[in-house]
Amino acid sequence: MKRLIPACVVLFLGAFAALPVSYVYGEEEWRQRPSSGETVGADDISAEIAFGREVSARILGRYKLYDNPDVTKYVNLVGRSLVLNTNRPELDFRFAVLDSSELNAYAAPGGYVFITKGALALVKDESELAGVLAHEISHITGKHVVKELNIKGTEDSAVSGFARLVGGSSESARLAFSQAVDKALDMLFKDGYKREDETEADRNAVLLCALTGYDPSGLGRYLERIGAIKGKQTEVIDRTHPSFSARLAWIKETIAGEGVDTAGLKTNKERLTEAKKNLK
Amino acid sequence: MKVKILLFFIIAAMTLMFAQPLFALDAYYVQSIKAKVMSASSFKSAILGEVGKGYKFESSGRQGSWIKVTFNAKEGYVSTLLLSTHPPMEKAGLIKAEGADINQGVRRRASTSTSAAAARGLTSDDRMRTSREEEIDYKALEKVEAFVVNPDEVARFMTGGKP
Amino acid sequence: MAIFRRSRMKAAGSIILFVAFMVLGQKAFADQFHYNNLLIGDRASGMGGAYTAVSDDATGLYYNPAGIVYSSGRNLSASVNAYYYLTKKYDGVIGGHGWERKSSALLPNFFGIVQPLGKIKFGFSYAVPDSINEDQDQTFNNLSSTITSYVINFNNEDNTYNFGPSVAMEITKSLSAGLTLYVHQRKAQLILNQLVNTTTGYEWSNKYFEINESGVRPVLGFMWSPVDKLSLGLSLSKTVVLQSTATDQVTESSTISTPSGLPLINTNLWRKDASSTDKRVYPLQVSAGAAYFATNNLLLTTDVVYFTRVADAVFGDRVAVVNVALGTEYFIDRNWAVRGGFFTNYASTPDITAGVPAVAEEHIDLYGGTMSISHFTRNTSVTLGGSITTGTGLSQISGTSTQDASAFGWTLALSSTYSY
Repeated sequence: MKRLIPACVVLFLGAFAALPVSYVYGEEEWRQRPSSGETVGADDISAEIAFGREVSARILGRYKLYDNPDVTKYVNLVGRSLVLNTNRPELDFRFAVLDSSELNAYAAPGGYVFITKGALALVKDESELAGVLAHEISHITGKHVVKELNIKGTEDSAVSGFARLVGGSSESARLAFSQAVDKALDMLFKDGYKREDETEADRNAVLLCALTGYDPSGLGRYLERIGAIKGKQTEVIDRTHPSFSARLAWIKETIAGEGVDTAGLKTNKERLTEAKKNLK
Repeated sequence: MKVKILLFFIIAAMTLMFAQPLFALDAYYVQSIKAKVMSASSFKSAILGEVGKGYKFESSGRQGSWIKVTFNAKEGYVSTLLLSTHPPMEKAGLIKAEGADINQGVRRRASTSTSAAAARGLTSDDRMRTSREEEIDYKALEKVEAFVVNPDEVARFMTGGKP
Repeated sequence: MAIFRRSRMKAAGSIILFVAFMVLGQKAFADQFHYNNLLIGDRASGMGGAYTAVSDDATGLYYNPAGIVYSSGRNLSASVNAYYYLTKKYDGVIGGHGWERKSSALLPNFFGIVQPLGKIKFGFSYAVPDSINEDQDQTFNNLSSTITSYVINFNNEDNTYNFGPSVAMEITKSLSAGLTLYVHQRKAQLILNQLVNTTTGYEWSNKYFEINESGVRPVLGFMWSPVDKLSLGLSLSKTVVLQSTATDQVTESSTISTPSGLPLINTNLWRKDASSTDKRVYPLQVSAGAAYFATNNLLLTTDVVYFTRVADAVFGDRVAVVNVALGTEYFIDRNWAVRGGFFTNYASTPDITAGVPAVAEEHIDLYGGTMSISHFTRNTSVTLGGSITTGTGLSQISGTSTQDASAFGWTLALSSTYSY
């Protein structure tokens, strides 16, 4: 018996050595067991959309909606062509323009993307617009707000019903919901997303543009242009995002690292110029 | 006898431990309409093929922003942006924040949405009246949601058509 | 000091010093002879207790608080209810007959809750690392031509409780540290009643012993992930007794012998009360673990736990012990998981050799296997698990001759976790 133990331990450790280990830096995703972490239930998606609607309604309350069908259609066409290359087909992505001279774009969970009129006026080609929209889309596909605020659907089973008896009532659920909405607005207008989330959104924006056929350096060009502007228009974006130089460097690094051939990708300058004619 | 029982446990545990690595591979499903399989973890590499939504890959790991998969008996790479570890889901139903609807929705599907719980007893008008600090515009939101774009238009747009 | 003098029992046939020695106390009671008696936690107990490098849920507060940094979900709570059963057999203790002691307990042995606050995670947990409720009830008739009967009734309850707060934080993306500060409480109570009936008279003894100790048990933990999918954990803990009160009452009556060291209080009746504030010394426990998160569904883990030597003249010396554990967890799908494990529970008492007075009355090395199955819903999980423990060794109950000893036990546990 006493000899069996060391034999077992040696065999076990041998198994460790034999199994392949990947050396890529991860975000401890490998720790997640199937029962935890990622929410994939239909009611989680419903909860995310309902939450996103509340946040969107408040974005639209803060900034007026720029109700121009031609411009809105164009932005939607660019946005939705990007969305075809994402991994959240359960969401209906919607794109809208905000009537504001501020230079910013917002994403609310559930698929709501907003871009200001000022930002639209500043983009010079379609790949730049695609870059901005791709960045916002990436916040949604990356579930940054959902994870940060733990937006989940409630379960409808006997087990969880009992657990809810112990843990929470509808009153506290309602309170928690409105608090979560407030926190989301703070993230959008005051504090910004976590640094890692912004980095991930910029990286995925580059990849998304490349996958869709847009030149991902468009986002870099746009950021460079904003970086040169100082004033009230950039107040919110300055407050809520990492520095432009940091973002530019990271975007360039991603393009190089992923082997993206920017020369072979589209910028569609003419199409954007044509669409901007409708911008009043 | 007792030692035999114990030995059974040990053997069962070890079988579990050693058998799994031989067979356990993570499964990934394509979420996008189409997904290209590359020969290396770079956009520059050759395209091995293209698959459609719902296609299931057996993966042996992750490399940066690419998932290493087996495709047609070859080693290929697919962008993580296009994949997920669960099959593609149907479009989720919207819960509209209308007064009468939400109350009915509460009774029928109260447990499926936290917003339903929050809206219990409050219509959207009530909520607008009670919010003091921030302004909320549900009418504008409805306009945004009502704006429909045909998937064919998107397809045409992508191939260079005019908006 | 008289309380804890080593007890001995003469082989049947020579009864003169028979009961007197027996009564004067047992240094070692309950299962102070092993360090790994109860496996704590719903996941961990299914994996042989190999949890130091996993510890990423409420159970981590007990094994390695650094791991709770990696717990998912906001708040977690877990509770375990377990039934334990153990029997020990000592062969040929008296007149060729063996002793048998049975122990069982039904108790909630873990509760934990984790709450994140900014970059720090806080927790609170309650654990019962050791609990025994041991009974012996045997009557031996006609042991020899003069001894007509020998009756032994023995009950021993010994419970250790840990409860207290925890705090953990990330130092870098792959390194975290945590600290649990447990309050340690141990209550033990022993009643030993013996009667020897002979053709010429009788000997009767009754012993009552109670000890209450309180102290602290800090657990310092680290977790490091040098490469993807591999987690290494280290935790150190030691119980420090700050206060201890023990009382010992011995009563004897006999028509055929006179006990020594006991005051006579009435005809054929002797009694002595004693108390002590000596504090038990616990070893330093160093747990090192490695966990390999092979795939999203499969987890393999191993722990090596080292307990230092203890020099304790009052409660008994202990040798250094190394226990190992192996565990695996496999998710069949996102709703079902199975676990298996193996662990050792080596005797902490020194080896027993015939002819040499032993420090403690037994030395039995135990080995165990575990299995459990869990069902998960979105926010909750329910786990049913069990384990089997067995082992053999030696005991030295009477005189300096040894007896073969063996132990067999099983546990059944039902637990649930809830995240919100």
